[in-house]
Amino acid sequence: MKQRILVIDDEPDYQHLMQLILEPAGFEVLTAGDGENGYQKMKEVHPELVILDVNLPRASGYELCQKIRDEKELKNIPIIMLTVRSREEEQVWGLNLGCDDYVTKPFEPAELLARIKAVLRRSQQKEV
Amino acid sequence: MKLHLRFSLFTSAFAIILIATTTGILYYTERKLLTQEIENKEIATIRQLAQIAREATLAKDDLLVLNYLNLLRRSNPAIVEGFYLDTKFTYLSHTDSSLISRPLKDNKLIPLLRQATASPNRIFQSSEKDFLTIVQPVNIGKNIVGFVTLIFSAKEISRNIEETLANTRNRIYSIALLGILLGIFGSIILAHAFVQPVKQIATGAQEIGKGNLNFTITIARSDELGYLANEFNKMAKKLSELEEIKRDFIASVTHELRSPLAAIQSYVNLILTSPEKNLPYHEIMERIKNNTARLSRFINDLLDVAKIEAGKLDVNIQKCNLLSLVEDIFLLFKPLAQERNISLTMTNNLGSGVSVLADEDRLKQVITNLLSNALKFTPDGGNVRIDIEQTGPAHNPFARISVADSGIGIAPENLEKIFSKFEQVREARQQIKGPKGTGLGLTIAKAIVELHNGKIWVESTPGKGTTFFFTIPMVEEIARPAGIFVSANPSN
Repeated sequence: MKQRILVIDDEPDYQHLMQLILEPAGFEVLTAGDGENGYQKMKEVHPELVILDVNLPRASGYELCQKIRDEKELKNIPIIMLTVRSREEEQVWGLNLGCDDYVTKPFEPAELLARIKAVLRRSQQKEV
Repeated sequence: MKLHLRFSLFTSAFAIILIATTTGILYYTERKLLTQEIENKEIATIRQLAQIAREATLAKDDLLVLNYLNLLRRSNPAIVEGFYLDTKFTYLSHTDSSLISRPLKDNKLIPLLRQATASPNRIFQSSEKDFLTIVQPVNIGKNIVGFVTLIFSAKEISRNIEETLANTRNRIYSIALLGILLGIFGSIILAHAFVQPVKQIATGAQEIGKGNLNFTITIARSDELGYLANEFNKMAKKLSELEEIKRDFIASVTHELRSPLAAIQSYVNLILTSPEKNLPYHEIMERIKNNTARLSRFINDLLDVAKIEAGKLDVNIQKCNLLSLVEDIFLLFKPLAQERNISLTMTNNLGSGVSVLADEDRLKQVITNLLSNALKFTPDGGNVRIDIEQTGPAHNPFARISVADSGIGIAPENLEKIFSKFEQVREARQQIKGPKGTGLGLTIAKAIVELHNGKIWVESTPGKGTTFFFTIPMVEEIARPAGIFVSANPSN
């Protein structure tokens, strides 16, 4: 079965980019346009990984990340933060809130894929 | 000199002067009262003496007066001399018994005695430098039978007064000293109470100056100092709001610049690194184009705002046809509205040939901005309408264009802010799906409309919708009611 990745980003371009990058690599890409929607989708489908934008309408990526980490059934889903914010302290903040990795826009497709695979590997080891 | 010290010194000096004056007045009054009392006593003594002399004369007992005089002299050291004269001014009795039956030795007394002869019941006094003399006629029935006289030493009297006063004086001085000490202590405390809030306010001002805008001065007073502190807090709050607006603006500018640029870079990275050449190139190029358009739109907005700030936004005002201009934009937005099932309508209550005096591109920019805002804040299935009307006096007509939406509306407290620079209502911003504005559009629209001598305003009911209005001057010669339009060219 294909591994499912949920992309939560309000910019349609990034949803599109993720599809272009992740689908050929063998993932199934699900999308959500805001924090509220993304949260609902997570509860519905329990994806293997979430790519989360920080600047989201309604609930921000940071808020969503915190919310997910407080929930028993969702807290083990790995999260990669994706944002145009590249300042180091912001990355540290995101990581402290419990996201597993951090990728800044713009990104290299190969790097993004490598990070996704690394995070997935780690989370599978944890499960075993 | 520090305010604290100055205030303490001032109030202390004030207290000291007040207490010293009071003490002085008290002392003077006490002295006067005491003098009065002694005088009364002297008068009582001579009355008593006169009474005794009368009784002695009636009883023909000269010794009685003499004994009494000696008694007086022993009991009152101020009495220098006391005697009883008959009407021929011969001593009947005298404290110095060797003078008895001798004539009056001191002629200076005679005028006083003559005066006394005329009024039997009065007491006569004469005070010289060292002596106080009191004379009282002695009368039996209506006849004066003699005079009693007492001579007091003035020095002794004042010594007496001073002695009595010394006690009082010490008491007054101790109270005054205590008062002055209390006054100084009180003024130090008062100065502290007065200066402390000033210090707090100064500290607050320092903190605010350092950039700590969340600092609040806590002075729970209802006086002027409390008012001052309160004003300071308000100022800090206002500054902190401005600071926040600035931060928000920088954040949104950064985001608006980086976001499309990052998307373009990411697409380019994808194309360059993708080994398989089966990417949807056309779609990717479309998206890159949209992002570059978004970037250039945003940069144009920023440049416009910079020009407005510098007062250098120029308009090239010419006659232009209003209806065709509005229709162009209307048609441009129609598909977008249809896509979201929004009913977009337009009514024109002016003649189709009405011209306005405007910079065509800038006027388009205003209408585009209002219309795109209206669509942005209207939910799917809502409606947006454009109305064109005439307004203003007949000799100076204006076209009024309004854009009404059925969107989320604007709270009354935010209506004024909406046109100011970089201001965007936070909750509204949160609800926008897709690309957000930077809060510059309405600022630019307002500046453009005002450069055309027009006005722009907004009416809104939260939850129901918002209507933006603006006016633009019409060209006078064709400003006629719809339907009576006369073409300048009959062949048309």
